[in-house]
Amino acid sequence: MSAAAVLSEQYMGLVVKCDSAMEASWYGETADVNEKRAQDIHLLDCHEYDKTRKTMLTAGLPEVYLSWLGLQALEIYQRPASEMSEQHRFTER
Amino acid sequence: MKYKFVLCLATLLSISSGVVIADVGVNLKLEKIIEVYELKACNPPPKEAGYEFGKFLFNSKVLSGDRDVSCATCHLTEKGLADGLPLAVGVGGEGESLSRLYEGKGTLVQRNAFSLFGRGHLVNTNFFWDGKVDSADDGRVFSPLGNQISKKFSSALAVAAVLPLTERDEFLGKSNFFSANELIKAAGDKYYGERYTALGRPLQERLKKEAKAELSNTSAWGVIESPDFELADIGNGLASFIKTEFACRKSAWEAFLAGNKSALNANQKDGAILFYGKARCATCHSGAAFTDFRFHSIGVPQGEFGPSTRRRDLGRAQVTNKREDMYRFRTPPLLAVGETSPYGHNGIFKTLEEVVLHHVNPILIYLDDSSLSKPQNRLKVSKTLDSRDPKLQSIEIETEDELHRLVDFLKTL
Repeated sequence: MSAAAVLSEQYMGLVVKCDSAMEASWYGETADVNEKRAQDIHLLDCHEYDKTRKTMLTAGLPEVYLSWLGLQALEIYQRPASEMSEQHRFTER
Repeated sequence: MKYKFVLCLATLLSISSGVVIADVGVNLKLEKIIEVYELKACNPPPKEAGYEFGKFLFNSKVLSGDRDVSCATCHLTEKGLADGLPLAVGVGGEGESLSRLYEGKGTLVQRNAFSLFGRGHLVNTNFFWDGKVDSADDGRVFSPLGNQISKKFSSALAVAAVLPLTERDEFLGKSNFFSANELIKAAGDKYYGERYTALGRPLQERLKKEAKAELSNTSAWGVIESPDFELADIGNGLASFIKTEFACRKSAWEAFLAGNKSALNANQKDGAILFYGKARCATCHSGAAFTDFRFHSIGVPQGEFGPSTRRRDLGRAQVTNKREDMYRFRTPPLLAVGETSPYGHNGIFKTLEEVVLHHVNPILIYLDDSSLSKPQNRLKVSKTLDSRDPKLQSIEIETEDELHRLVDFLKTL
């Protein structure tokens, strides 16, 4: 439970970062040596994702929970929370 | 009780592992950046024989027709070796930096002055915003002075160093119907290639008279008195000085590369990771000088002035006459970039944040700057915007926080 409390948010952030890095490297120009280098550095986000994932599994969190977090991350990071909540606020009193 | 203890231990472990993960993440990435990009701390070259001669030439106004400009006028130490102006102010100007502009008598040089850090010892293949001094693989150096005179120059830097001396707005000086200085008389109405020959003798005569006190006991004096003296001797001296004096910059990033891992704070480290990774800055701002020496367009709006006809600036196309080079400029090196505002070939970006933002959002400057909404600009926006390099599409800066961290890193260079 405590591992979930401490690492879940970080994990969700890394899900999105890794997704972004993988997409960028898929569409990137691999013939360009400096673009390739930038992709290598960007993809380190996926290494960090993997490590966090392993840490959470080692701490006893079930795979299904991590999968759920992955889905949560994709939902949350589509738009910042502030934007999602903005339309629900009263703007006049 | 036992359950509470286990829970407590698990919490502690998790917190500590979380912290470790974050730390290892940043430091590991920085280590990998150094490995992948083969980054090394700057290693200054030894002083060359021409250093003292170059030092004198760099700081002396003897090279300007009206004795009112030196190299140091537009390459100020306190401005990161630039001048703090959107466009440099050349002959006729007084004072330094903004006072040259406010004083109002100087001639505008049509482009932004750039820093000289790292120009000599690094692999500089071309010089100036449009690369008008360019070296070929076989060692020839092309420039407005012509490639046929490249033999006596020690390097492309030496050619670049004398090119301003042949320009009326930068060094030759002002003239009117009744009077002109001897450099204008010798070279003012000549083409560039001829200016090279025409300027050698009068400058030699000036140096013999005006540099004697400082240089007569140095090896430079032999060069000055030589019957074979040419403009290239001045260029070689200047290059020797620039190469050594401005080889390495004492910056936080340099300290970091030299092994001081606390030279950057957490924001700056994050900025470095963005720069070399997802923000894709290093795909063009690569190598030790942070430039690929290639020509790209980021769609910089035309300013009020420019060296091309109708006060425009066509960029690299000025040199190549090729359509695909229109509005392209050499990737600017970034050493000392935090001190060299304003930015862009025409100095249109006031802050570092503005110019970084323009890479990902070229619309804002048109909205924010009312002068760019005037009809003469409003109807021509697509010319520059359509020229933007497709590489810019790869940049990923997703939050304001990331933008700020990137700028924080740039200020460490």
